[in-house]
Parts: sequence; C-alpha cells; structure tokens
Amino acid sequence: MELIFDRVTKQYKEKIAVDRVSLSLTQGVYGLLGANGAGKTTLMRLMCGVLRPDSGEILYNGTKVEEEAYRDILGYLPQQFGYYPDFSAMDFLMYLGSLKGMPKKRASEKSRELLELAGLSHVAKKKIKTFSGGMKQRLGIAQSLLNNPEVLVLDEPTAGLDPKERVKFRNIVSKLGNDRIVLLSTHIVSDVEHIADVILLMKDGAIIHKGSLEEIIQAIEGKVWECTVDSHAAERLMGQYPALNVREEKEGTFLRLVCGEKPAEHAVQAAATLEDLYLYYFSGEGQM
Amino acid sequence: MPRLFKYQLKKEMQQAFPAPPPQGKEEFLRGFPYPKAKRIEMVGVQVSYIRKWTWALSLLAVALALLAGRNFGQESSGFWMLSCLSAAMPVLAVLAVTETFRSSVYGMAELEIAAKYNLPQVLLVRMGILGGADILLMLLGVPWIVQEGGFSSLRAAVYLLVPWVGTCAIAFQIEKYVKGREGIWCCAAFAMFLCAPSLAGRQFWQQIYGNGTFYLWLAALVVFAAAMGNQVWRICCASKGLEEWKWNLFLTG
Repeated sequence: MELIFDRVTKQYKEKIAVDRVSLSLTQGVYGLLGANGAGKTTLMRLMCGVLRPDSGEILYNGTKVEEEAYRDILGYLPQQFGYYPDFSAMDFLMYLGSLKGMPKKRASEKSRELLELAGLSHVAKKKIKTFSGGMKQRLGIAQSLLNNPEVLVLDEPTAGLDPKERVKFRNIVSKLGNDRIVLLSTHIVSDVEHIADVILLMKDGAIIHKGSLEEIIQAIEGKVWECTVDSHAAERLMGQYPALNVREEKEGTFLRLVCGEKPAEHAVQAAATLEDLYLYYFSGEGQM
Repeated sequence: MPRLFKYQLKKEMQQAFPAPPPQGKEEFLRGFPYPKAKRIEMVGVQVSYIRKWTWALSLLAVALALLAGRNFGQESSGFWMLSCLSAAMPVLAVLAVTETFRSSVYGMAELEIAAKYNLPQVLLVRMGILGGADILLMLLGVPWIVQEGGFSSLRAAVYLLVPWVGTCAIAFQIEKYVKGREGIWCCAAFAMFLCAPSLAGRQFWQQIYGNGTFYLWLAALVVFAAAMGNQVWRICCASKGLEEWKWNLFLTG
C-alpha cells in the first residue's frame, strides 16, 4: 500500500499552489498542517483526481489517481460540500453509494451502519436541510467511509464539530489508520497532535517538514522561551523574535518566544509544542 | 457426559482461555469479494434521480405545442404546427441541459468527481436519458408535421432538431462559463429568445421553411451537432481521466 507523489506541480495563473511535491505515503494517519493558501486543499484535490497536476504524477500501487480503479478505493470528504435539497441523510448516502458502485442492498446496510457510527440514526429519514453544521459534517464523514476505502482524504473534517464529537472522530480515524492511508488537513493543531502518525507541514505549496510529532518539533526544540517583562521590553522583544503567546499580567507582559538565545535575564526555557512550531512558521500568514 | 455439564465446561473454558483479539479483521473483510453494482444499475439509479418536474415540464411543453398546433392554427396549419413544435424544442433542450447543472448548483460536484462513477459519467448518463426521451417526444411530432404540412419526414426532423441541438450546444457553452443558478437563468432566457421567433415569424414562414432555404437548415444542423459532439467528447475524455473537469466547478480554497 503506497501512494506516491512524484514532483507534482499545480499552478493557477501566477500562483503556484503546489510546488514540485514528492512524497510517499504508506498506511497510517497523516496530518497536513499549513496556513490558508498554503496549498493543502489543492494537494488533496490532486490526490483525489478532482484536479490534474500541471506536471508530475500521483500513483497508488502503480495505478494513476485519474483512473476509475483508484476512485473505487478512495474516500473523500471535501472542505465544503452540498446536497440535493430533497435528500434525507439516508438518500444522500444511498445516492453516493450508487456512485461508488455499491449494490442497493449493500449500500443500504452500510448506510445504516455508518449513520449509527455518526450518531445520525435517529434522523436518517430527516431532510439534510434541517441538520446543524456538525450533523452535516458527520454525514460527510460517513459518506467518505461508505466504500470502506483504502485511501481516505479528509479536508478539514473537524470543522463544525463540538469537542465531544471531535474526540469521537479522532478515535474513529486513529482506528482507520491501522490498515489504510488517511490524510487529513486541519487548522486545529491538537487534532493533528493526537491522531497523526506523521505530520506534514506545508508552506507556499511545498512540504517543508515531514515526520512524527517528536521529529517535527525538533526544529524549535530548545528555542522556546517564556518570560514576563515590562511593556517596553515586551515591544522590543516582539519586534526581534516571533511571539507565540502574549498575555498581560499584573507583573508585566508575559511572552512566549522563539529565539536561538536567552531573550531576557529571567527568561526560562519551555518545552516546544506543535502549536509553537505552527505559529513559528505561519505567524503573519493567512491573516485577515 | 451430560449435556448440561458439557455446556458448562465449554462456557468455563471460553472464560479461562479467551479468544485473542482479531488481527487483520478489516483487511480480511476488505479482501472479501463484495459484489459491485453493474454500470447498468448506475444508469437505472440515475433515472430515478432525475427530477420529476423535469419530466413533467418536458411532457407539458410538447403537449401544449401539439395542442396549440392542432387547435389555434387558422391558415397554413402545417407551418403553424411546425412553429409550435419547433418553439417547444429549446424548452426541452434547456430542461435536459440544466439537469447537468444540479451538481454544481447544490455543491455535489466535488463529491461526485471523486466517486467511482464520476461526475462526467453521471452527466453522460443523465444527458443520454433525457436526450433519448426528448428525441422520442420529437418523433411523436414528426408524423403530425408530415401529415399537416406535407413536408418529408427528413425535413420535419431537421426542422425540429436544429433548435434542439442548437440550444443544447449553446447551453453547454453557457454552463462552462456562467456559475450555478445564473447559468440556468441564462439558458432559460436563451431558450425563450429562440422560441419567440418561431411563433412570431408568421409572415416569414414561406421563406424560413421554403425549399430554397433547406440547405441552410442542414448546414446549421451540422454546425450545431459538431459543437455539441465536441462538448460530449470533452465530457467523455474527462470521464476517463484524460482531461481535467473544469466545467462549472469554480473550486475555492
């Protein structure tokens, strides 16, 4: 089981969305992190054959992702998806089941099973337009699992889920990663931290880091400092170093910074987290 | 050994030596040859997903055209019948083509593209079903026109096909460039634009449907059929993954 990206590039007019990405994914859960516009969604669409690369190719066990045989083993949850207005949850799953080549009986059995898993059994016959955002997202996750896919691509799957639903989702995905390739993108760093075996950090269309949580935070290990200083010193330090956290306290301004050397006399070193790494690389990007 | 004792022994053995947790259960289940639906089943399913009002409006358009052609024509009733049916053709074409808009209008396109039977295949099936039904409806009108207007069957068929194929070809172009619901309105407006001259051009009937202009109808049919054939070919290429599906996607993010 191996999915190979071979120098894949995708360009929209002047903007290079995916820039010569070469990757090899084997079974496990991969978390894709990056700021808005980093190219995550484009990479996922290329992986699902929704878009075609301008150059390079993506192969799964030697099969091109544009082929029907690949789509047969693919499960995909897009960042945004809709539904036909008259569809109930069950209709939606049955319709996608038919497009996934499932016979009616099997699609019906699998739909019921997945509605149960998604906690939507009690609203199986209800119109989707009456659903909350979280329910729609759970339905989207359910449809991606209909054909028991070998490759599962989830674009921001936890968007709209409450903390309890997110924990349930994480557990399901962790289990799924045992015997298939799962790639998920999210802005919620803790989701990636908890479920991804391998983290991919994407910036300006390129994968800048790939590795386990421990490996990936090595990049800033020993460089995270915390200190409480007066407002003038705080302003000076924030100008000099990337600030990970700023908090006004009684004694002064609390700062969490990334820098190669001790930034202030009373500064203490702190253990680096994935969120620190994310903020270090992406502070100032994708902001409104 | 008494049966009850045997049962108890079995139960206790099970408790003392529990079965190990399944290893590779998912892999085993996935390797199980679950039957796949045949392509023809997918076609059958798609028939049921075509909106009922698309069928109803198509039938209504042809029924109204036949009714108007039979009952409201005073003079040159053959030309009147032809005009009425000809005016219904763009409506049929737009109803068929706009059925292909649904995926993008309702945000299902991306899900459908990534499915085994992907969006281009689904569109080909829907177009095939609706196109076939429209041609059957057209065939209903041909004998009437032949009988009332004294045209040959070929000429009657060409007069009906040109507005239908022409509308389809142009509606596909509109679909490529105009987003979602706006595209549907543009196609509808264009169909109305084509309907109006068919009904209003009473004084030009002799010139429009005369022997001398028939070659223009044939030329128009060839041009529109080629344009439509090109669109269908592009969809076929996209369905086989030879081309990127760009129509009406307007992907963001």
